[in-house]
Amino acid sequence: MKYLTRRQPTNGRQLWGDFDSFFNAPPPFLPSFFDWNNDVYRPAIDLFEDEASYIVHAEVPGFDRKEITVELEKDRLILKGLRKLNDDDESSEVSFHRSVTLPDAIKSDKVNAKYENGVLTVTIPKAEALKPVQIEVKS
Amino acid sequence: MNTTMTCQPKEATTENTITYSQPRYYVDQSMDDTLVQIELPGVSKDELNLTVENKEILVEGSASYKLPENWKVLHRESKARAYRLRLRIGDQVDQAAIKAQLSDGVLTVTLPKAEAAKPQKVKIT
Repeated sequence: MKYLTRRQPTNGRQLWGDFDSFFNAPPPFLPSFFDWNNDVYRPAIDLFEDEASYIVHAEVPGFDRKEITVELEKDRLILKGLRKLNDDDESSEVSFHRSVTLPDAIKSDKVNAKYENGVLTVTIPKAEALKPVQIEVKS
Repeated sequence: MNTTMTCQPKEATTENTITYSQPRYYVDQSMDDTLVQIELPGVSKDELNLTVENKEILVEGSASYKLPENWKVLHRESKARAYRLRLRIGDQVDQAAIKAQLSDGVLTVTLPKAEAAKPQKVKIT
């Protein structure tokens, strides 16, 4: 289905602050030209932590679970989505691509992702903290 | 959920400690209906109300989900998941036949055009 009117572009696109560089570098002075493109969608992303994990929420309404990919590249979480819209006479697509650099070491083999009501939740366990190890003193 | 509000909120309004924001929505027309797609991420079917009254539709939804208390916010872009949208639909909609479906956080409201509002073919004699 084709969207003829886009009346309330308020939620995602006004956030020029680039989360991708949030932890590494100051945000770019000017918004990327990509953000002006109607077909590139910029979902709102939240990052939380608790004792054991980092938790990422991404609001990506309208995408099907199968149209979303979650990748982990070292400490960088990459969220991608691609949805093809088929109209009678033309086809177009809506996509998003965002990445989050996680602040600290993680366990990349225990990442869990779920998608519900248009919200993607990714839980990434933190690497176990270096616990003090007691060494027995032998005689 | 009933409301006594009579005008559409331009910005987020606070009522009963819930802050509603206006969701993003799209409108699409076809010969037979007008389709309104409203983005309501985080809201389930049970948390959503759609009412049709006085030539207006009112969509209200608010997620009951609360962040666990031990979660620390490191970065936040999303707004509270409480949405309210009031749209005037006018005379040309068959109000009794309005349908709505929620899927992946998007509510699709189908507003069928009233017979009188559909394009009419005129027979040439």
